[in-house]
Amino acid sequence: MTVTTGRAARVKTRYGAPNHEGRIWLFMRLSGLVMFVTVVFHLLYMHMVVRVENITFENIDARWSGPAGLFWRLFDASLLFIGMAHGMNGVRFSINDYVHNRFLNLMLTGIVYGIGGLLILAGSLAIIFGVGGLGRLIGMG
Amino acid sequence: MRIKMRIRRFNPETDSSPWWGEYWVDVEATDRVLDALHQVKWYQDGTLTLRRSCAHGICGSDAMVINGRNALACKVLMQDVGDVCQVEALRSMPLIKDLVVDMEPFFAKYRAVLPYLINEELPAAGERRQSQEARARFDDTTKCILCAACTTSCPSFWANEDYIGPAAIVQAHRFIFDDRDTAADLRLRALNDVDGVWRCRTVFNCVQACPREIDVTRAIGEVKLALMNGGD
Repeated sequence: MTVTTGRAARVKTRYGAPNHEGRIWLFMRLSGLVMFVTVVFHLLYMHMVVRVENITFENIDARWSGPAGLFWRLFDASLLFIGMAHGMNGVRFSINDYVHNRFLNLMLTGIVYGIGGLLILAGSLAIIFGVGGLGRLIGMG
Repeated sequence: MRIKMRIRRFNPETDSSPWWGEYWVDVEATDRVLDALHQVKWYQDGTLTLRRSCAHGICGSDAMVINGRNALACKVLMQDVGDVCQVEALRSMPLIKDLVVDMEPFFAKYRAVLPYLINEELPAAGERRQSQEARARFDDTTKCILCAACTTSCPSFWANEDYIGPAAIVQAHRFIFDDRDTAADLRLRALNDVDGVWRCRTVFNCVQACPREIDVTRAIGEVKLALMNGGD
């Protein structure tokens, strides 16, 4: 009996890479998986180990300056960057779904990117210079 | 049992906007919503307009919104609708009259995915044979009857009518994963667009709406993965 097989392999050689939206879709899936682990860990650690009443600037500053400081800064940086990119892209999806006016769409997307960029900048400065360092940097410390 | 039918009526020649008509019908518990609509049309108001053909869940012509959910009127029993049965036309489609919508935009998207076998090579022995395993790969999506219940239940489609919609993706899936077909790349190219498969937000309304119980979101996911993997 003759059975047609192997078309998939032929298609693979003929078809190109996924486009921009496809890569973003993959990013959303992968970042969602990563955040499932990091956010659950973050919540459990902050609520069960640190406990809510102890979440203060001083406490976070001490953790970032302590012996595992580099780990905590990298961990919080991953929460910041992946969370913000995932969240901002989700808002962009909603804008693209519901705002059909091109000008309004661009304006709202710009505002989202602007706010997101500022939050990432503030978070990055805090992680790099420390909570107290950021305060001194902007003249509030 | 006596049931109140609330039907969203619209006559483009006399009405400026749709309105709700209310009708009382006597039905058996095992009658279908379609039977109740027939009662209204045949014995109470002959102007009620609806599409139906086979009346047995095969042709897909009587998809409508029944108590807020997309379904075939010929497959929903009156015992399952409660004391009031509310019926309206499919959402986000041009309304022609009462329960009849213009299906042309839907079929234009269907045509865009080339929903037919494409293979320039002549079959070896008069027919193209296929293994049971190869057939099973796309068996689920062969069940689609093009009723549009999935596409018109999709919030992404409500928000943006340019979205190609789950039904067209299901039809593309049926041929993309058919090993007798050679034009998967053309279909994937049509779907690799912001208004193509990437507009799907994995809401799962389509799975709930499908009267053929096709796992629509899974099929869409498989097409997305095929695009990510460059073809399969």
